[in-house]
Amino acid sequence: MLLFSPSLDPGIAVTVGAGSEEEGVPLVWDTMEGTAEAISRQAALRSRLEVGVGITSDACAITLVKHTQGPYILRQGPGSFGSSEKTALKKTLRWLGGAAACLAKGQPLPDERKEEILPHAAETETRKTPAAIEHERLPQGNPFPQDLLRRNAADDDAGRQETSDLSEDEMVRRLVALVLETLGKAP
Amino acid sequence: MPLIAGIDIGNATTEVALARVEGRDVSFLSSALAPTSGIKGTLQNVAGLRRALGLALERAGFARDDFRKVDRIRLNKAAPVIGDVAMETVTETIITESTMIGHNPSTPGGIGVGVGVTITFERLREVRSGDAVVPVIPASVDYEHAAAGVAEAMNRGVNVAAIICQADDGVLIANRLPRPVPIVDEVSSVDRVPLGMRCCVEVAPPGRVVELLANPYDIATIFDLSPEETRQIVPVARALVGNRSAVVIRTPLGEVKERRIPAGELYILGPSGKRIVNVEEGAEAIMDMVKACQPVENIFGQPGTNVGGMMERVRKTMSTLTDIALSDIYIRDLLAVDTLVPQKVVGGVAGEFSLESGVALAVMVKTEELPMQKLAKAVEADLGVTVEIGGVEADMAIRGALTTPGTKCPVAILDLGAGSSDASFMRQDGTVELIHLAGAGNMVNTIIMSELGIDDFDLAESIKRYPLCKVESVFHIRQEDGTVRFFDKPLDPEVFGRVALIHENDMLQPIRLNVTLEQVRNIRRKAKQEVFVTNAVRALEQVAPAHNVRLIDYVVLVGGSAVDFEVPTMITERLSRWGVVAGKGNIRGKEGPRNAVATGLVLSATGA
Repeated sequence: MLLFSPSLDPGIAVTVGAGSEEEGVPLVWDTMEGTAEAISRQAALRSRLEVGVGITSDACAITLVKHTQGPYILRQGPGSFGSSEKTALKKTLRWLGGAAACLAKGQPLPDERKEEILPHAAETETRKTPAAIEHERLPQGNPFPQDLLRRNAADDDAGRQETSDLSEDEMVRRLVALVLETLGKAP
Repeated sequence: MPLIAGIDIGNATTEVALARVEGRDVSFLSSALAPTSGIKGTLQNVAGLRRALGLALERAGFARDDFRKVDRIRLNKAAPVIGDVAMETVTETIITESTMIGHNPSTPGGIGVGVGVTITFERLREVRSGDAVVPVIPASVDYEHAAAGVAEAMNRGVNVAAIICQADDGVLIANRLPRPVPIVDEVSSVDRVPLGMRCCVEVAPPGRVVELLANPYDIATIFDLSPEETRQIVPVARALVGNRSAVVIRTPLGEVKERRIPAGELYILGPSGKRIVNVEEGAEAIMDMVKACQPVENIFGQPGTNVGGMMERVRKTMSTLTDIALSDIYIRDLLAVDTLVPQKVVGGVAGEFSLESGVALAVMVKTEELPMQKLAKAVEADLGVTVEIGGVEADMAIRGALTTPGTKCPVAILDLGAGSSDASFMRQDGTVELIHLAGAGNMVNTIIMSELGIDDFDLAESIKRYPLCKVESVFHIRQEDGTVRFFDKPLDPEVFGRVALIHENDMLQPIRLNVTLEQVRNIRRKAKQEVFVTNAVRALEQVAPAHNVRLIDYVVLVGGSAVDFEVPTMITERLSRWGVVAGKGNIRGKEGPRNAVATGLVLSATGA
């Protein structure tokens, strides 16, 4: 689950999504106000894989539900994340997606330097509407039941308008309700 | 009471035992060890000696540099033997008429087998419908553009059979195509993929390995090979075994040259004359021949072969180390171990290596007496303390080892070091039989480095010394015996999901290789078995009464490699078959297997 500041270009979801898609892990996204630490925690709580990515204009974080002491991975400062250079930014974003996917899979994190052989990361200028990304978030051969995914996506759509107003308790309550409902539907 | 320091300078460590000696009364104050500086027996050793002695003084309550408190230093008369290790393949990879990509990207795209002609991505739009092609996509093409280009061609009716791409985009492209095709990604030297050639790409389902391209007859079927050509393709098929994805491209005749260097023969000179053994026969045959030629006088390799080159390199290294003329270097012992040597695959374009069977050889060279007297003078001048050379190292080791509770004469000592494995046997009457053998800790490191394909000696040393674990979550690891341990603090992201080594104080060192815990464990244990257990048996057979190990009652393991967490149990287990009491020494009841020679040097000062 990826949450990022509403002020950021939604195109970042494509880049982060590419990182996790290459690892074969689905990613859903939404926007939310708050610090990278706080929104990554929210993302982790909302994620079925219990891994959350939070991105703001000055930091990015990956948080695991079970890791309550704060973000597991935190990149801060203009040197690492807020770099004005697009190459570095895209590299970090795609790495974040890959790293979150690997954490969900229990595999070693990808080598951050590996992405350096990808010159196209700098050249890509394509922008996608959120709807197109939403569509692409359902990779072929998805390991999860399609109805569950659609439900989650719908839930995200609803959440997109309300997220910033929701209290944490409310979020947890909704999450629990969703899980219970899903379990009830399972064959 | 005079203060006496026994100092043992070994290949890897310098050990000190500090004691007050009055007549026959000895009271040990402290002991210490430091890495040996320079080659054993040279003047460079002084620095390491100062450090070790300083540590021992500090532990005994003196100032670290108060060397004059010591009344006498007793140095070991180091055995004049030096060991070296080398590694060589016994077979050579031969690949003709084919280029292959056999690497294992973590996430290839699509599934299945595709056969077509390689073309550049740019030329894809010129291809006519119905042609079977395999586009080669450089990293400069974004995955979305790549997928759009390929999809457009597919919609035109072009048979895009498979894709080779440079970036880690395999899954991304596969997810954007109208129909799935096998995609091999992360091919680093994509510009070296020959274009316009017939090519076969295979990607196996997750958890499976390639079947078609690992079978020479299937490759022959795809590329229409003659029986002779099929024979030549075997190394390609073998190099692809175990991969999840692979590419084989048929290139024009002669593009990849055949190269064949014979493994060669070893000539062993013994009392019964020269005997010959071919290295291709493997380590066991070589060791049988070495055994038949005891005592070995010299060993040569056949000129112009792999082993010939290797033995010459060993001679040269030894000559440089010891300042002895090349012609005067006599190789007196040899330990051969079958191993796997990674060889860069000729014709590979993604930096492929294939594991060729090879043989690791440790050799032992007898030198002139090491210039210990010169070293003693240098130490005396440097520290201002009287220095004397103690007795023969093996005698000292036995004296030291006999301080282990539960031992008695006759006893055999196995001194397992870094450079050599030494054995000595003391009879009831006090006479001593002694042997130095090639192969010890450093050879284990060499085998680990070779089989894991790493060139980091320190990492190999750590793999040898520390047990393994797999980091399974942020808070827990699974150790190599299957037990699970939990941590209060989250483990570093660097080690997450990796195989790691458990150092002291639970510090975890990740192994950044694509290997499983079982692979590393098997390689480590096999290397230790084949070096230490083989050498223990070999050494004891030579010093035992009537060369019969059963006639030895007690074996005490000492030396740096006896500190190892599994070598002593391996040897104990092996020797227990002959009813021999064998185990790790415990010098003075508290030092463990370390400090035997240093302790012996102090004890011998009493004249007892």
